Amino acid sequence: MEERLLHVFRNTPLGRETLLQSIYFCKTLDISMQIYVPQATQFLMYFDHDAVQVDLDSSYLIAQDTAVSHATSLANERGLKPGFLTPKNFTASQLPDIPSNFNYMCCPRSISDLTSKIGLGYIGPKVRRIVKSSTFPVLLTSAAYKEWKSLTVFYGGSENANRALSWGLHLSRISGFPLDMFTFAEGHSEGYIDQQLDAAGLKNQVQDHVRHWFRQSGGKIEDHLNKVPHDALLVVGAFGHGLIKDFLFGSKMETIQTWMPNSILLVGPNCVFRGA
Amino acid sequence: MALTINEVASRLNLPVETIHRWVRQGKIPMRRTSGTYTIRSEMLERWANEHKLEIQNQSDDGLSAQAKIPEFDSIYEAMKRGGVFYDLCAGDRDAALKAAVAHIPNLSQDERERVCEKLLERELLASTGIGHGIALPHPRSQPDIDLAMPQITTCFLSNAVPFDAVDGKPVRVMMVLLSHSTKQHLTMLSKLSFYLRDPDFRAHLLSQPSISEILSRIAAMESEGQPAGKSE
Amino acid sequence: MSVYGWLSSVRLKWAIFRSDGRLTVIALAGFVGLCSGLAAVVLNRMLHYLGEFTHGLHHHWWAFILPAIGATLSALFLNTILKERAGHGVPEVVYAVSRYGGLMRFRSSFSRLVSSCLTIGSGGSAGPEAPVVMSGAALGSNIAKYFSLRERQRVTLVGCGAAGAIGAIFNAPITGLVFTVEVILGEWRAFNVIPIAIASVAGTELSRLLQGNQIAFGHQQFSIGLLDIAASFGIVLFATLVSIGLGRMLKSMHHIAKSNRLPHWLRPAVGGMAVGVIGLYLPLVLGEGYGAIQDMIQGTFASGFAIVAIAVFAKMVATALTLGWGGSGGIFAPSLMVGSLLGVAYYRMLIWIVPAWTITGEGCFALLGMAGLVSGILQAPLTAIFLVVEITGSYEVILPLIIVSTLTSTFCYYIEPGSFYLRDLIEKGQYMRPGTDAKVLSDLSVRELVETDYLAVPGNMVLKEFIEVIKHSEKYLFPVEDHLDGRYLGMIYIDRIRPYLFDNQMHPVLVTEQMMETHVPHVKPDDELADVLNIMENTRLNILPVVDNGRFVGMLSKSLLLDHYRKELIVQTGI
Repeated sequence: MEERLLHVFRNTPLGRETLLQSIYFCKTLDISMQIYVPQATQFLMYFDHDAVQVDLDSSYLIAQDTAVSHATSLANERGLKPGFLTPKNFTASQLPDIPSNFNYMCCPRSISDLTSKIGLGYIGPKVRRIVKSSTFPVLLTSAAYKEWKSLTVFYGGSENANRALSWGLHLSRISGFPLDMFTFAEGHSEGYIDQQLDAAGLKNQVQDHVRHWFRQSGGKIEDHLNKVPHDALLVVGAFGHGLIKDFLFGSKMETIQTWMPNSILLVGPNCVFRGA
Repeated sequence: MALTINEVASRLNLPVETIHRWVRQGKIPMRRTSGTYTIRSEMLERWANEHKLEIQNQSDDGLSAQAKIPEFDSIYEAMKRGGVFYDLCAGDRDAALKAAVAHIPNLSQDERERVCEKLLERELLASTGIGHGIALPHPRSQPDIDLAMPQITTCFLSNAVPFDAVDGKPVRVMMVLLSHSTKQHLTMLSKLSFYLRDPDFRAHLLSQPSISEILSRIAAMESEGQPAGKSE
Repeated sequence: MSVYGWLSSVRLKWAIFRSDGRLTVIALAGFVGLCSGLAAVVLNRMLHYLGEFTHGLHHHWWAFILPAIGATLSALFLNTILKERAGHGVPEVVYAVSRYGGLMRFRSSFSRLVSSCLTIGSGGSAGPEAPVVMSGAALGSNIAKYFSLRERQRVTLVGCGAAGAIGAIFNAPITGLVFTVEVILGEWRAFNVIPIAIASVAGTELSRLLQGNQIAFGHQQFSIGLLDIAASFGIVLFATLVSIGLGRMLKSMHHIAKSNRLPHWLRPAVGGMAVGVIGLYLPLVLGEGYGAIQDMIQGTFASGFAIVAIAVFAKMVATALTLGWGGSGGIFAPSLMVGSLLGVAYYRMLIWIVPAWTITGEGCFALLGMAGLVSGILQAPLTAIFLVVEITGSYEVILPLIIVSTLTSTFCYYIEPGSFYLRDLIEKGQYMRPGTDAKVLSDLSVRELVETDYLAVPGNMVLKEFIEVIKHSEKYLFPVEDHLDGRYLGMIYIDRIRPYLFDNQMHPVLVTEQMMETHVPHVKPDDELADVLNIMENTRLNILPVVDNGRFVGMLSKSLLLDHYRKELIVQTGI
């Protein structure tokens, strides 16, 4: 069955950039697109273990009457036929249930708060919860539309990083774009990364497929981020550790998304990799 | 032994998505260990018994007998297996069939009797003489014989035998078709009768060629292309 | 038996023990029961204090404005601050249980407590039970989420929350258990009844600890004679009428409120104001009415027959106004109140007609009326029976009680199939009890059942080539796709094109596009299976193509569906 991406559309200039980013993602990876044009300021997503209520800000309801035609024309110009999602079930009359059986979802860095807050270094709490509980990776788009021509996987050796790497390899195969890998040995010996790769059975694939391997050590991770190509889609495992560990050591994902203006594909802890 | 979701799905003969959902709903006791869900096979068996679900062991017993039947290879191979015999003497149709059955290779004595019975039974139904002096005797239903692959036994009669053929001509050549399964049998019969539509080939057969001549002719016809590829 | 064999059997037992969530659930059930019991006590206390506070104000002429303020504040709190869309509570819990395995938002665990406290405390006529049930259920759901339990255990904990809440609020553990099983879960199984019983007891115990062992309505003893039983049939009649009336009234009030143009935040104020005005003349109707019920059960209710009869009607109207216009609260307490008023009115009428009858006290009839209304409106006869039994603390009234409960719920069922809680769900087709056809069908999805081993042929293929395809395929159905962009065009049924198959003249002439049927209904991967089965029924087709976004995905056959349906049913109703 075709893979599907869910996009919550807002009919504003920022929403247009986000949509273009989604369209590019779908076109490159041959994914079909489902657009949800919100009719109310909130919706509910029921995941396997969590019910996430997303409260949209009022900018999502701007110019609703032209939203569908605007989105369709943007997609059609780029040769994509989007499907539009109409909610079937309602938890309350103004509270539609949005299905969660998608393969990807596109979010701005913040989905619920005002546009003014959107920028680097801020992920909205709802997007966090979506990433934490979803079975699909979440695409965080850059503020302005930019095509990416390669993929960079951030690999730290954890369970989640293995999954992110698998997705990266999979996406690179489908898109035909080269894959780079960025590792930062932080508090581990140099061989740790290789051990982890070996244990996950990904070593051969990495050797065959990865174009550049940025092995970094020393200093902070921020010192090395300039190495990452400017036109790369970042693939990062997110929220792999417990709350306490994140609290003590900080999350790598947070650092990356704070510093990198690129589009980021976040692979959450519940993501199921069903690719080849 | 720990089984993954995919293995459980194939054992229960259910789609993977269903098992995923059952895990989520807590209907099947699978445990999450290092990112993947697993269940021990004893547990799965116990669980399946409790719920009266069929379990297939990973060996392919489940892939019923049908899968074991090999594809029909070719007329050439079948004729090679069945052999070619010359100068059978017989006064009438039944005697000719009996004589032919006596020559068929790869059969036990019991099987020979059964095959003969079946062939005669089939002739009573309608003659297998297809005209031009050729007959294709075959049993109506597959007799219980132990043949791995189908075979065609070609018998040349020393004198023409009346066979109630469609065109009334007596028969000089009999090609006895035997096989274990109906599917192979039908494929073989349809291919052979297709080749026999060719008058040149019929003439060639009636001229009592040597074994090697027949086989090389068949091989040539089969290599020309699949008979089904041509249209009449 | 070798040591190894013994070891492995121990290991198997240990694995069974570990994989079985029962003990975890039982352990958590007590905790959930305590939490929801606490929620119930908190709401009860808050109502108590707020009630005392507003009581002093009710003699002022402007008191009628109070319910309006309360209802508006509660609506603002729910819709603007918490952004949770209103609802009565119990239907939402049932919806979450039947469709999403009991997943509920965390905010639901306190939102209704505050909002219903504002509504009821200020005088709105509504019950605190539904909000408490919702809170308890949401607490159970979130505790289950925290321990990452699976759906089945989560649903049980949701039930635990509801049971603990009801147990605590009425100080009646068995009622909590029965209400949960009858209304919330609709399933009576060992693996969920035991935890729910534990939670119910835990909630009740907590409430006793914090509020003392004072039952919501004090114990009463009655002696029942034959005449009482005969008289109880009359109650059945009235209870049925009033139940249906109250249900209809709520519904129509809801429609009126919805169809007017007032701004959302003002609507509850309208209803609240109207209730306030009624309350000026009949203060009886204000609030949840536990005090008045208490008086009626004890037979110390002072007002005369006429006042009581008017009060029945006024309470119904007030409840409809409060809830229909957007106040927050449940229907349980109002139906208790209406029921007991009805019982008292009926009793006084009997005494007035036949003064010589020696029938038992007024309180007994108040209880019977309560039972009648609860079983009529909620269509939960068992809950009604156990509630009254626990209130009276004895079995004397059981016979008339059973008569009233079962008959009223049966009669109401004839007139309105589906209780007040579940009516909306039934209308939307979201009423799914475990093990029912609807639940099995909603669990299965088209995606799981689609067979993808069908070979699609391009639309420009000539029959001659197509015959080759048929020869090498075991299928008798072939989807046709556009040869350029792969769009799904139609289906070819081999059994419908037979005339051409055997016509050699047609072999090079016909192309697949000409032979296909374009009007075969197709389904989408996200369609509900109930709808798909309806299509199959109406078109008499046993197999339908599945098309996603214009592309052919596979076929959905009834035979495979039945196969999976059976397995799903087995697993769903299994242990």
